[in-house]
Amino acid sequence: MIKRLMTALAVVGVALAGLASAAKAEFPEKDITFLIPFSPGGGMDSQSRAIAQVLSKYLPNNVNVIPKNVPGAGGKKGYGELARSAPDGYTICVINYPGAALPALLGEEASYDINTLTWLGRMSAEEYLMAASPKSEIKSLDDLKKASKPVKITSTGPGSTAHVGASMAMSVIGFKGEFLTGYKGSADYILGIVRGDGDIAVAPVQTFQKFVESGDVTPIMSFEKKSSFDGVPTAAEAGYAELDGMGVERYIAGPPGMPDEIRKALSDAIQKAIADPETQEWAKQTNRPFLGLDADESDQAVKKSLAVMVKFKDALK
Amino acid sequence: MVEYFSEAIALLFTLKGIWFLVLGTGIGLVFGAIPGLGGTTAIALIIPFTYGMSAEQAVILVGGIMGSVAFGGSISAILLNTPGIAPNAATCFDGFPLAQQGKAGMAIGAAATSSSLGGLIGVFILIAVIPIAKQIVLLFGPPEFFALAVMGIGAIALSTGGKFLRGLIAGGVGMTLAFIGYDAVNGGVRFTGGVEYLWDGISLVPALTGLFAVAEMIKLSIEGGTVARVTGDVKITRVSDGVWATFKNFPVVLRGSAIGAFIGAIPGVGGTVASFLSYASVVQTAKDPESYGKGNIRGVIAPESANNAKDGGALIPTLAFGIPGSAEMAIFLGVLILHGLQPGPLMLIENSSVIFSLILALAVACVLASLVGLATARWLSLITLVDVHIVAPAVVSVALVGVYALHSSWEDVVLALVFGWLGYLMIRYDYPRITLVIAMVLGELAERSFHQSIIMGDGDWRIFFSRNISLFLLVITVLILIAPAVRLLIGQWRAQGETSS
Repeated sequence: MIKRLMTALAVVGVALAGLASAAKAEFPEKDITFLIPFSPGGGMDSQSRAIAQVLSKYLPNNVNVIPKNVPGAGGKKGYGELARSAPDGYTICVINYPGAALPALLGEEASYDINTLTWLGRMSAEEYLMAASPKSEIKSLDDLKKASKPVKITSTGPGSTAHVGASMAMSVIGFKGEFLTGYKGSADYILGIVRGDGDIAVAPVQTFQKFVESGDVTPIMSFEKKSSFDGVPTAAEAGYAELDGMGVERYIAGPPGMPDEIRKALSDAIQKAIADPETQEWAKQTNRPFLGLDADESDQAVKKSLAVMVKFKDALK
Repeated sequence: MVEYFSEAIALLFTLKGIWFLVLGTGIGLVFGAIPGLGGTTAIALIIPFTYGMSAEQAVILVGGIMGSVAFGGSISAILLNTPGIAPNAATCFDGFPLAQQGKAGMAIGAAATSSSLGGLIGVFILIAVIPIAKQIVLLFGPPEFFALAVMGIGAIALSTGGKFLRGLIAGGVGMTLAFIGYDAVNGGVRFTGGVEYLWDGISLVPALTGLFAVAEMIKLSIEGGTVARVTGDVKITRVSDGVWATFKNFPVVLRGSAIGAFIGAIPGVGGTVASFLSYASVVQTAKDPESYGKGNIRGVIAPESANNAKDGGALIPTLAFGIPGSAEMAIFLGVLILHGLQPGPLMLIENSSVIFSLILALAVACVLASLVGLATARWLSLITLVDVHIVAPAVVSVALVGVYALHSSWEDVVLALVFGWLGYLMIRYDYPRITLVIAMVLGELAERSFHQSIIMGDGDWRIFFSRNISLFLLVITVLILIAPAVRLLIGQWRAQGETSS
């Protein structure tokens, strides 16, 4: 009698274990939503869509990855939606870093906590360039340091990543600056210095490239590891090691508390999608190279960066 | 340049090219007419479908959509007092009263004609200006934006139609609504009461849909009847009257298109401001400003020319700098990026076939859309004769679905309903909605530009007068504002002169 009971229990146990592993092996069973917390048409949107399209090739069951734009509140609306979603791997989101970290760094209330998100990988890292208006008296880094009146810096607003970069540069280099904000996007505030509204601006090198080539802006200092522009020093070369490598990174993340196997599955798929020849071709043509990191590397990178940025909290306010 | 165009023509007039153009025009008309959807949504939705196409084909499709959206929107503006897209709001002011007078056909005819003429003139201006595009875009900075916004807001004073105080009150409310949200200049959040949805301010499309469509349907439901008040002598076949009226008022078309192209060329200002300024300009320079808002056909011609011309204008900074002049242009650039093209100052040289395909598609689409509109105007106008018990629920549901479809946000729907209630109250107690809308739309631009200008001028407000263009615009504003008073005085002097001799 007990033997029969034990056998029955064993069978049930094996069946359940079988079912459980079958269920786990089934991810993903349905389409995955890829949140994009910005309006369609911009660089973040195009890059995310390029990846989303290729991603389904590398996921089991050939499910679709559907991009969904959730613009608003400088990205916070989309990040909030991510944080509220179930960590079952069916909702992932592109994260604009360090912009997304600002509420936590400034101690503001937010509908998500950057410290608890599940990092799945990084798509790209674009380093910043600081450039000046052709109508400004500032033509080089030395001019910046010697400036007698506060320098006008154009940006979209205190919530933006480039604003963070500019604030930190001000604090580290030690020049007096005044922000001229309210522009709708990077294209608009760059146009602002081309036009002469402001003196300098900070933006990713790729975004500035065409303007430097056409002579509409004068590059002053690059935050890159190696300067793309002749005669323009990098932050490290100029003696500002803290600014070295500063820029905007685009990560992909899931809601907090994602199970490890799902995290790994997504991480692998993302890295393969980045390495895919189709994606690489797109990146080459549009000059938006991918600098992928997998889930673990991303996790480490973000934590390290957050630790550094916390020190500059006051400069950011 | 001729070679570029012949290349584009060759690409367009293939079976596939024409198919994409017609498809785009159709999509644009439908998305334009359904309130809340609009060109930006349409283009964003077809992006995935363009993966397999060549860049030129994708661009023809996009151009088709862009060219027809504004006219599609004018149909709902005229028939149902619901702007199809935000720039059509100015068309509601006189378009809907015309429909109420049984002249819907005429209004649609005028809208169709001015839309296609406006679009063509806009493209023409674009082509003429391409060589100096860069310099023009660079001339307009925050002080000039401020002056333009002030000029538009000045229209409030003149379009109150005798209800001066109520107009100002409504305008004040509109301004306050404009201030809700995150203030990008000073970095604080205002008037949101902690609601994250209001962070970006009052979303224009749901607000306008509520203020006009929903409010109007509420009023109709309470009063009963049909949209067209005059059921007896309704002449639906007055479409040709509308077409003739447009040609008779060609100066209005020219002025509207110029304003549209011009404002469209300034990144960050937008089509809504363009059509409002065009409407304002025709009111301010009219001999009978009180007739506006009651069914003056010029009140339809002016904004409709402007909101089509703006697409040609929006291409100017897009080509000069790769900086989108409008939301549709931003997505258009996104489509280009997706096809491996790199937008920038050298686009005209490097990707000429794509650019000229777009320009051509835009031009042809706005004419095509208008022809479709003219052909179907008769039947569309019959909507104004349908009893309210069918029209009201249909309009409200379509409008609210459209509003929801914008951002999949139920908060937008709530906003539309709140504004619907507000709009009904304003109708009931006879407060002009026009002034509220003008203030709401231009208030944000005015405030932001003012702050930016002050920072630019190091705290010295004389910056508005030291720059030629902003000074010029402000002087014009003052002149326009005192013009009615001056006219009155001159009239009195003349009268006195006659009696004394």
